Amino acid sequence: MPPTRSLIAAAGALLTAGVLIATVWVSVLDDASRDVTSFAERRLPLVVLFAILAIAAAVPFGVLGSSHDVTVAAGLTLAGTTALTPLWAAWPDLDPRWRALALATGPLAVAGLALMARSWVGAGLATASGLLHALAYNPFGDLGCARVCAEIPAVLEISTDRLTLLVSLGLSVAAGFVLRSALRRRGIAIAAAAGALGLAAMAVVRWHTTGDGDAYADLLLAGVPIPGLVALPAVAVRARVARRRFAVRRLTRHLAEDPEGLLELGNNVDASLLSAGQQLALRNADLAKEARTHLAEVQASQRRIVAAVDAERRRIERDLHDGTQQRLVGVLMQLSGLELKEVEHQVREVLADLRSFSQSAFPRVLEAEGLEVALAELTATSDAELRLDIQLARPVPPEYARALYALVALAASGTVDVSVVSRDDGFDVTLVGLARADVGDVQDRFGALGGTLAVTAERIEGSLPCAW
Amino acid sequence: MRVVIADDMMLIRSGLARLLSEARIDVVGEAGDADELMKLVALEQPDVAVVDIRMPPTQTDEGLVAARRIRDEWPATSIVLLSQHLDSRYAQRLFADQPAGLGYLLKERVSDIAVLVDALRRVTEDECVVDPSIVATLMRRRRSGNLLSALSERELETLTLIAEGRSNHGVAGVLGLSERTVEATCAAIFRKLGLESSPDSNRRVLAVLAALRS
Repeated sequence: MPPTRSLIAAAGALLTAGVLIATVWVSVLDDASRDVTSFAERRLPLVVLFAILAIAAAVPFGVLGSSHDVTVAAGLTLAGTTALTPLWAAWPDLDPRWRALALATGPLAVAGLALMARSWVGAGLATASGLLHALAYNPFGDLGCARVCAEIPAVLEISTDRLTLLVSLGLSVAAGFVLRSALRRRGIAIAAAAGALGLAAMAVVRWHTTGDGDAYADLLLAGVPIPGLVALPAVAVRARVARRRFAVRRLTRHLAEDPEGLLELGNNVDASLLSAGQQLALRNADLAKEARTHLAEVQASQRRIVAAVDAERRRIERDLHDGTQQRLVGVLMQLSGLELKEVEHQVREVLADLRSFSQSAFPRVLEAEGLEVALAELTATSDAELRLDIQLARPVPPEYARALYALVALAASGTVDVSVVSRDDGFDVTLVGLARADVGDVQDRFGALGGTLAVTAERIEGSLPCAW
Repeated sequence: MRVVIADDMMLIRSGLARLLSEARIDVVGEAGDADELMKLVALEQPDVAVVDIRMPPTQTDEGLVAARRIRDEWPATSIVLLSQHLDSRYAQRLFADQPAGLGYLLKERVSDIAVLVDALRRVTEDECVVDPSIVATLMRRRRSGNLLSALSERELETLTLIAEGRSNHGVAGVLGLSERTVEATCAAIFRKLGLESSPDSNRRVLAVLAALRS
């Protein structure tokens, strides 16, 4: 849901755009015999008319571009609209009253520009001038209206000459206030003040040329592009922002699949250029990165633990082999020939136990001969009926071999289908027909390598990502 | 019979030497590592070298490497390899090149002097010797499988002895049968297992080990 000020700006833009379109429409309808405006007579080259309209067309964009400041947007809307409405007097089907009103709205454009510069006094003076103009306007006294205006009694009886003088005076003073306010505020207010001064100057010229119909029409037309000119800086800023925003949006779309890139972008662009959704995505990517970092730390520590456990098991196996087992063999040799059969038997049993213990602590065959041979040996020597399906397209790194071997070694009884397959990005292992299994240790090994184990009744599915 | 012993453990070396001497076998030298062993073999050219597989410096397969060199350089010297662990795949590979005159025994087996003397005698007679526990493991597993269920008790006994590397003569001696009976039993076993019968008892060992492992 866009904020209220955006809605107001959108309404203003729609209004000014609508008035502009209506004005062009009215001019097209205009028939050549009525010369309220220079449109009708086409005394100006067509290209100049187009240029004037094109500049006037900047107003709606300027209003949109000023959406952050409701006063500016409202002022520009007022100026843009009232600069055009006098041209409506050329519309043949318009009620004379409305036509007179349309012709009288001109001074309000200065009020709009004064609003843009936040010059309340200027706005008040210009509005007062407009009101005075509307109240005292006598179409018959206005040469510009001579042939198209029906008689409408004016509320106030003031001669046209004097009225024009008063209005031009009021607008000039108003423009002065606008300028004063603009010098304090700078920015678009300066453009507004320039526009107000321009319009005031035109009012003075109009007073000076009272009675000259052509000059009147030309002055009306000359006032049309002024709000557009004032709006141009806002449009330029707006266009730059829109271009950047568009570029950012396109980038974010490209980077949606690439959180690292999104984060980098986030570090390099002004967050105010991003929409709320994009900022949320950025925040999300930030949190995700944090989570990934934590996960990587946890995994690294898990790997260290598994590696430490393996190192310890290797040490135990070696100690048993080089120490305890050898000494027991030595004991057996010394017992030989002493006819102590029962003792000898017991020592042999201890040796067999030690052998199986050290084998399970650290399967040397896995390290010396690799996963495939180790699994084949497991199959050949265990009581389980292991049906192996091993498809390894690449060498298996030792940690991965240990994890996969540990998983398959769980299947120590019954008839189990074992499949170990290497993919481009890791390994898939499936055990089907497993009677029961405690996967605790194996789960740790898989977790340390970023893998997963899914254990269901009689079925274990594991997956190990591996970058090689 | 002249024998050299290689083991990095003094305790084992001296124990073995004592046992062999008591069995009136001539121990002509003891070595603590592979280099010493090679020098000793070159010097004494013994009938048999009894070699521990794991020796310094890496404690992995120094003994095995030395055994290969002895086979190449002194083919008249037979070898008995000793290991704390047995591995049927290892055995299969060990015997693949040249099974004759090679033995692979569990270390503790040597404390039973009769077994050791029997193994020494068999390797000098160009038989091969596979530790009974390797065969037992494979046989035990296969008893539940359907491959061996077709064999009679007598045939299983015979198969075990064949897998341990014994010749028909040896099998006959152990089982107290005539050599002719053993030959007939062998033919029956090989037919039932779908194996090609070979007159060479050493090649026969490999075929049987492979069949039992598969």
